Amino acid sequence: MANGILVVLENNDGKISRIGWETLTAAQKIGSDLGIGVSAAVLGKDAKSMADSAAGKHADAIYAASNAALENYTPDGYTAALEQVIAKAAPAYIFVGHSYQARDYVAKLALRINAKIISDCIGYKVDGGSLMLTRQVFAGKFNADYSFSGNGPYIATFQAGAFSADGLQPGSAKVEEVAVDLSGTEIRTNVLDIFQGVKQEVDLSKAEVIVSAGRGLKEKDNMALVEGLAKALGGDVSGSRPVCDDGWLKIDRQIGSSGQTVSPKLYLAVGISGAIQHVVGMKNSKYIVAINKDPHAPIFEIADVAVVADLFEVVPALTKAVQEAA
Amino acid sequence: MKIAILLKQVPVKDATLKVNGDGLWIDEDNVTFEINESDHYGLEEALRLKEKHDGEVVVVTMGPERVKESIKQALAKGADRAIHINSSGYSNPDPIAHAKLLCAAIKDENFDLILSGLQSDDLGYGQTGVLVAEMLGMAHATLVMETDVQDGKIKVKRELEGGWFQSVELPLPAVLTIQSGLNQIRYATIKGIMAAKRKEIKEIAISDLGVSDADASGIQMHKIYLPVKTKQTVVLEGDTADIVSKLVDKLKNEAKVL
Amino acid sequence: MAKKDKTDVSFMKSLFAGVIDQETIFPYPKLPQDEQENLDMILQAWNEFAKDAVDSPQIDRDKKIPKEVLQGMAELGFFGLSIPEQYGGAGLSETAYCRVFEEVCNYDASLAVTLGAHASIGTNGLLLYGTEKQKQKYLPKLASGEWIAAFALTEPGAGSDAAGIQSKAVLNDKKTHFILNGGKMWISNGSISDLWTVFAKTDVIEDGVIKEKISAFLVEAKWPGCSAGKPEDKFGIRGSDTTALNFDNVQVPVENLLGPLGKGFKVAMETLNVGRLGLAAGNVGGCKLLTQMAADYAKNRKQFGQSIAEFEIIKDKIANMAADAYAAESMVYLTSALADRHTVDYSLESAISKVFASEALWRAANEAMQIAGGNGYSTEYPFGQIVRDARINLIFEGTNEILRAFTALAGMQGPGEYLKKIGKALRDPIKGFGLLTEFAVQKVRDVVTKDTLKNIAPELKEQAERFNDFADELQSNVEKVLMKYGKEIIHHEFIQQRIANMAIDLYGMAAVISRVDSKIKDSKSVEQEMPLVQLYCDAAWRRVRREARQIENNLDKQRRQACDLIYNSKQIPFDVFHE
Ligand SMILES: Cc1cc2nc3c(=O)[nH]c(=O)nc-3n(C[C@H](O)[C@H](O)[C@H](O)COP(=O)(O)OP(=O)(O)OC[C@H]3O[C@@H](n4cnc5c(N)ncnc54)[C@H](O)[C@@H]3O)c2cc1C
Ligand SMILES: Cc1cc2nc3c(=O)[nH]c(=O)nc-3n(C[C@H](O)[C@H](O)[C@H](O)COP(=O)(O)OP(=O)(O)OC[C@H]3O[C@@H](n4cnc5c(N)ncnc54)[C@H](O)[C@@H]3O)c2cc1C
Repeated sequence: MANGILVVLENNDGKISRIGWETLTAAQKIGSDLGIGVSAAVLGKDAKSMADSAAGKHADAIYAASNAALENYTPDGYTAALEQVIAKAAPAYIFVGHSYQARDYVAKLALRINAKIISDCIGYKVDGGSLMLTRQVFAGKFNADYSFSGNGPYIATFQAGAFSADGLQPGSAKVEEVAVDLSGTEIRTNVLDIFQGVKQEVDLSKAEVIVSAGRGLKEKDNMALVEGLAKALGGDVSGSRPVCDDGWLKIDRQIGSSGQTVSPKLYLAVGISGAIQHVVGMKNSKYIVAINKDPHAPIFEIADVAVVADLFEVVPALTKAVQEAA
Repeated sequence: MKIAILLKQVPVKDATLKVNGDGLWIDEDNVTFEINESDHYGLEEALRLKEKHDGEVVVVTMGPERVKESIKQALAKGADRAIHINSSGYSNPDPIAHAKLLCAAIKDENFDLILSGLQSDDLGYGQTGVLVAEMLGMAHATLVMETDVQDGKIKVKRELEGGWFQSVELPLPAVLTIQSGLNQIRYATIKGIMAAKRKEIKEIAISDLGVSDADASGIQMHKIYLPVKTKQTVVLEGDTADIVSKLVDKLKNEAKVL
Repeated sequence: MAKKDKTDVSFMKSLFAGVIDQETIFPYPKLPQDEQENLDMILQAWNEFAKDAVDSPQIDRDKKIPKEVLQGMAELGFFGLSIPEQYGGAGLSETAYCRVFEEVCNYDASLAVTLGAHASIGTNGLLLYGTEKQKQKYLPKLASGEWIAAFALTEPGAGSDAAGIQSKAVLNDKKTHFILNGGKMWISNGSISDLWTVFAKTDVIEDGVIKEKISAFLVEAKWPGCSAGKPEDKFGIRGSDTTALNFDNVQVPVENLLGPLGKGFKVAMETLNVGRLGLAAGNVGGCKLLTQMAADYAKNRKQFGQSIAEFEIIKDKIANMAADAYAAESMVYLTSALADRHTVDYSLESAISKVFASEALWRAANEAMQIAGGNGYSTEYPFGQIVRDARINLIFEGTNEILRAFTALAGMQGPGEYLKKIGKALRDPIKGFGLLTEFAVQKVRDVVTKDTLKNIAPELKEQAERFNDFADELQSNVEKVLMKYGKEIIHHEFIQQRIANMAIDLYGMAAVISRVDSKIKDSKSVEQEMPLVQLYCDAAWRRVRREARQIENNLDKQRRQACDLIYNSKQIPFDVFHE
């Protein structure tokens, strides 16, 4: 018997992560549109306190699945534990935030419980009682609408930032502890260490003006163009991931989900396509200017000013004009 | 060590794409394709592992005829042979179905290690590697940034959010999904290119894979479309001098940074 | 490389005799699909590498190609492009080699010259004339880039007149070694190379008499007595190493004689036939790149309230550049396919391609600089370096003057046994004259009526008719001047130049017509290139007509007088203020 939506609240070092709350918000909205209930689950060595922190939200139940083997996330452990929670909650839908963790185990879980899966959704529509999910395809150049078919359960994962946790409905949810038994589960991955990458030497979070370089610059030598513009504007230089991977820029100047998050007065994106992993790191900037020759570049969707042009023409001219204006 | 690299072909990054007539795919005319970025890094990692530990690298690709070009490129870079699941005329959006087909094609190969990219730049499900691992009963790790094979085990560095990493160890055989940037991709050598034409590309039709429910799909794709803008965006285009003067004005009066 | 005797007659040599050997150049050649795929992959690999590694302005400033770039190219296999696979090379056809070379030129001309001096002229003598033992000894090292090659013909006293070299190799008493003495000049890769193809005079006994004839040798740079001078400071291709070489009693083992004793000149000329074609291909790449660069610049530069690209004088330049580039490309890849057949004599076509492409490049460089105005003249823009780099192409591997004379004279010698019969004919004036005219006349009689291109697509009707008419003009003019001057023709360079210019544009028209006609017959649209075809062919036949008219009706006498005037005065003999 199918039973509403079950949200998996991600445990981030003993706390429910932001994407968990965002996904719960999505579930509340979709649940209400579909006329079905929402419950949530949280996993950990000791999940009770985290579950308690969600008790004040609008939901039918918060399942706390605790087990010593869940101290560190492992795909085997999480899959086995969720299998048991799901058996108990018997949801029609399972929603998970499309975090790095979810990328690691949700597909595996889907096979275990014989579920259908649509990943990395950014929006939804409910039409005639059925759920249509929107996700990005072709690296954000297009959106696509998807629906489930055949028997559930159905799993959907939601992109970070697709729903704002500000819309989370308060309420009261009963916290229910689920005894998960992992004694028969072989956990094959052995977590050795968790550590921070390169030491951040630059903190761009305070920068007022950031000129950010993308792969559109074509080669390292052209970085001088953005450096010149940043200098003229009295700002800092940052970049997209490939620009840092290729060594055109130091890795600690990378913006995005695996880099820094910034919100300057001006973010000037030069030759950056606007992949979501980049956008999450800069979309809260006060004023966004993007220079891209592709009129459909996803970066334009969040830009205040979209400059559709060849950066190699605009950037030198702009640098000159800014120098003259200053 | 016997290594498979699951490799997919996608449109080049700065291709200008248009939705095709039935609204379910792009118009492929005049589009150039390339090896999916993270798969390309995966191929490089496979080649490096082979150079270190000996063995064989097998490219496994599903796609229409055009993917031969990417296969040849992978062979030119040093992969030993390839399996091409020719999917001309097959269109099923379900990643589970794709994984089943891939598994059917490779299950008898007994790979020690299966690598894939972390996600594709076309459909972007990010599931294939994980699904294949589960279907073949192998351990897996995703978002891999470093590998280190040592007697029957593999230690990997996984990327976490916000600049954090995790080091985990898993038993072989295993599946890894590779994150872009973990190594430096080599250039194909001319010798490699010439040698590629002598390497085996085993072509299998979907119907020959014995997957009875290859056409079954748990999900349905309804249409692909250009996203509707939600934000008010001023578009500047055309004459460079004109763009620049308008932009400087905005930087002064709206962004207030000048 | 299958080396057969060249049995098929050259298209251009036939044309000089009024015969349009259409089968030789129709349909326009295409690479087999698998070779095309390989080529595409090689180009992709090169582009990926070069984008990261090659910094042309830096090479120009430093007058040096960074070691890592050459090493990277070696690792990719670029040093063995045309060396057969069995010796560790890539075994590319001449066509594929040319296309790759074109792409190398697009990144940096110094790099291209370095590569060409190694892979083309530095290696081709060995490929064409080397013994199996010599090939096994040297080719793998050259293919891997472990060794770099150079071609050493020019001497201080012998540039255009290559047969006049003075370096001498004398067999020692034990007949184990040649003792080589002398020096070379302007040798590309001189100080960075390991193996030199050196040309020197040797004593050959012919009909019981000792004669001095040129022989070719494979000389290792590390042998005692070999030394290279310091790199020349040059106007362009500054990153390419050019030095003098000196030979001081160098002991060259007899097994390092390349080709038969006394046949060195032939080795040199055949090597240069191939080399020139590569150069021409590089020039094609330059023409295309410059056309694009000039157009991009023009589109972005505003004057009088609009982009200068809209002004028709600028359009005239761009259109000419594009049409020239199209014609040059058509000529080069037609010729490379002739070379790939290994049975066709393509020496004339190769010389013509080099002359046309190098001059088209020079015009393009000049116009691109002009379109860029003051910026064009600034070192912050690339145009100046391109002008400097482009200039060498009119000078080396046979100056364009020498190649024009060659085109006219070799063309006029007629098809057939030109080296033997006609070579003698030219040296033996009285007998030779008979031979020459006899040949030409006989050929014309064979043809009876004017030969024409057959079965050409209607879209090309006008171009084909012009070609037919002026091919006929070429033949009749050749006949006329041979009748008039006979053996003396070798002293009439005014005429030679006109005949050569006619031949150059006729070959260009033939190549363009073949290319477009073949495309039409493949049911492909030619709409977009038709304007280029029309522009080139129109300019070409008008030039041919002008040259033809001037063969009889000219001011050559005044030219001689003008030179006499200048040559005979110490200073320019006019000055408007003192008249
Ligand atoms: C798990 C994960 C984590 C990631 N983390 C991050 C992250 O933290 N930060 C990040 O940035 N990325 C991250 N990425 C990568 C991300 O998905 C994109 O691949 C990346 O952001 C693309 O960088 P880009 O925009 O510079 O390059 P591209 O997507 O290649 O875009 C280049 C753009 O330049 C434009 N362009 C090209 N030439 C010109 C020209 N002459 N003039 C004007 N425009 C031109 C093109 O139209 C194109 O839009 C992550 C990916 C994954 C899967
Ligand atoms: C950068 C560079 C690289 C070179 N690399 C090599 C190399 O790798 N190997 C090698 O062997 N050589 C090389 N050369 C030499 C080059 O091939 C010669 O410079 C060229 O053949 C011209 O010879 P020259 O310099 O002696 O000029 P000259 O022969 O002195 O010519 C001077 C001028 O007189 C003209 N001229 C001469 N004879 C006639 C005639 N009969 N009719 C009309 N005009 C005539 C020429 O066309 C030219 O315009 C290189 C030269 C340069 C500048």
